[in-house]
Amino acid sequence: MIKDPATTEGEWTPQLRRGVLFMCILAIIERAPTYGYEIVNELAEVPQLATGEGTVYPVLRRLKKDGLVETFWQESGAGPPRQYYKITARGAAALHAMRQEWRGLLEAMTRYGRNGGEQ
Amino acid sequence: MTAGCDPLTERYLSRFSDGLKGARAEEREEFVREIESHIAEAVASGEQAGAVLYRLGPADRLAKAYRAELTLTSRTGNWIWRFFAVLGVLVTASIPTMIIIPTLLAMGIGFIAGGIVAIVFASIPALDATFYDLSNHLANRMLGGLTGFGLVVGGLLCFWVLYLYVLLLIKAMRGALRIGA
Repeated sequence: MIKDPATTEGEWTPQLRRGVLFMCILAIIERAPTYGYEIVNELAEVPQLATGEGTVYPVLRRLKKDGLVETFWQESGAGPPRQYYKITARGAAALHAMRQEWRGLLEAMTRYGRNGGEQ
Repeated sequence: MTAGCDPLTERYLSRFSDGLKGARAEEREEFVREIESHIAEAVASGEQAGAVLYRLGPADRLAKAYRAELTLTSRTGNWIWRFFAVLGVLVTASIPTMIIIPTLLAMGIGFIAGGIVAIVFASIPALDATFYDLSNHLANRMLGGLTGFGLVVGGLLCFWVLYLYVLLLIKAMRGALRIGA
């Protein structure tokens, strides 16, 4: 098995966010092909994710490298050409699996989420 | 590549590009073009270039995030490093592998085959009797059967060790492939 990088308490929140971010970005791309600037703006409306553009772009490249999305350049009306991201069949399958995992986690975590963790 | 940008953006993009050493040239150009497109888009919608760059974070940190996601090394062309890392594992592992794999394989097959023959001979008195006459004694046959069983277990053990060794090799190879992480 591949060893997971040590997760100290201080890294916990960013790591949690990062994992969820992959799913959010994939979900946004799944709706319709879109480009980085639009994705950044949509995510900016979710303050809990605390995503900056500096995080979104590297993740987009990672998704592409893993074959979950593909890209194409398209001219925009007035501005510069945009690089669009489109979900692949593999990406859709990965997103489906992520959602299932997420639902399962959510269910499991209701048990530990309460204060004091009482049953 | 960075035509039509203000000097601040231009400097940012060139520093970002410098930080992407290790990526293939065309990939690098695409990364830079995308960030450039992002900045232009934000500026076109009324933002200050300085504010956009501030939110993108320092150029070298952005490049570092790319390298982390794509497991690039910042040293030299990253495929060269990987090639040597894999070569290193191959060279180090090849001599023990040449000895360990055939030896364990031969021992495994030999032990199991020998064990089965011993068990068969021990369990069929008539066959056994053709070799030596003490053989019909129950104690002798049990001893034969037990030996056979032990041999089979030993053979299986050899295969198990072989399996562990192959796992170790795969792990080492994976480690080598991730050297740039």
